[in-house]
Amino acid sequence: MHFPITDVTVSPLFLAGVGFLVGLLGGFFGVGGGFLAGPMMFLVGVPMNFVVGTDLAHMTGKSIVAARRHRVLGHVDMRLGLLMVLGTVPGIEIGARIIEGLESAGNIDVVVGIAYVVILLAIGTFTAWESMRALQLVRTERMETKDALAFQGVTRQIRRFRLPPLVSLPDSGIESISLWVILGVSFLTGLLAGVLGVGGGFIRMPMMIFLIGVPTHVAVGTDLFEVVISAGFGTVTHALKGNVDVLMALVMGTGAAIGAQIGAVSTRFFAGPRIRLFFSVLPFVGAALVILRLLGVLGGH
Amino acid sequence: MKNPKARKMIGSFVIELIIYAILVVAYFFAVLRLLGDPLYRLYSNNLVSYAFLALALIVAQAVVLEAVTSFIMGLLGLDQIE
Repeated sequence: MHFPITDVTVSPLFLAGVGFLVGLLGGFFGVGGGFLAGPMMFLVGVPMNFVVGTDLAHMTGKSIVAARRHRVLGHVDMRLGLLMVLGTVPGIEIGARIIEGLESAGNIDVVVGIAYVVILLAIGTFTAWESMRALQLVRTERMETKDALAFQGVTRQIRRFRLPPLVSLPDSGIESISLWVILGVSFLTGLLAGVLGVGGGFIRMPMMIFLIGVPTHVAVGTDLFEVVISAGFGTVTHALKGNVDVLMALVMGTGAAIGAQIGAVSTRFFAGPRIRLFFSVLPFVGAALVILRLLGVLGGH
Repeated sequence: MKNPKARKMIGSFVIELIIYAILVVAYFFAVLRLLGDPLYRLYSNNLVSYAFLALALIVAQAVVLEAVTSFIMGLLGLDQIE
């Protein structure tokens, strides 16, 4: 099928297949999946400037389907999601400006790439260690599996910070927490996402669990809700620059919508630690793709 | 799969996916072919309108495809996996 906007010919089944795979991961883990879809689109000849914008557009549609499913399952904390957007958006904007400023001083792609790999490996290693420990605790101490956490020290310390206003998040099982904690965590994740040039799903999801204390299933659903807003915003800004092929995004969206539904529904059959254990593989895949890009195999930004 | 409830849920979901797949194929051949040229013209002539229409189409596709599938599932009397 020829896509006149990007002027490339790609099999719609391939695009729908990529969408399906990314949708599956997004629905299950609450991530946007740009780290995977981007390189695959680039490999079939989609120009790099269209890769990012088109990926954001299809991510918006996929996340709507997945977030809606998660909401029906009771996995979306709307209040937390909206509050986090208030911190995430300025964080992304400031992060992007920091990068712009640094880029004008010289080529920093390699530095950012290495920082990205280090962060991904740290998240992957930590999440794998924590989830395996949580599963071990469940076995040895007969804990409730669903939301078992092996690392709660930081969450407890953060909860002691009681600067008003305090907000209650009943959908996340949090009686009261300082609004500044939520804004701080979301700003930090937004800043990292902006600096690294990614959507930030696989930074935000573990941060919600380990810093704010949100149950894993709710973190997945709430992250998707945030992806809808941030990716929708990104779609418009990229489309205004002429970097979105909406036909391609619609084709990808058809596969992604199916994958997102399967992914979202599948979370019902897995306890929190298992989801985190599976999730821990993603950052390693992401790191490998960034290393390949740095080596020139997958092209630049 | 020994749990009959889980089996029924997975069965319902497979039917929903088949309905979804049929809708998607119809979508490829009808809507995208019809939309191709007008969207390209809009992209070339008016990027602002194109940007907002792009978002509207993406949102509409997600909402409509899922709503139609759910509606058909309801007509078939199959339980949603919810």
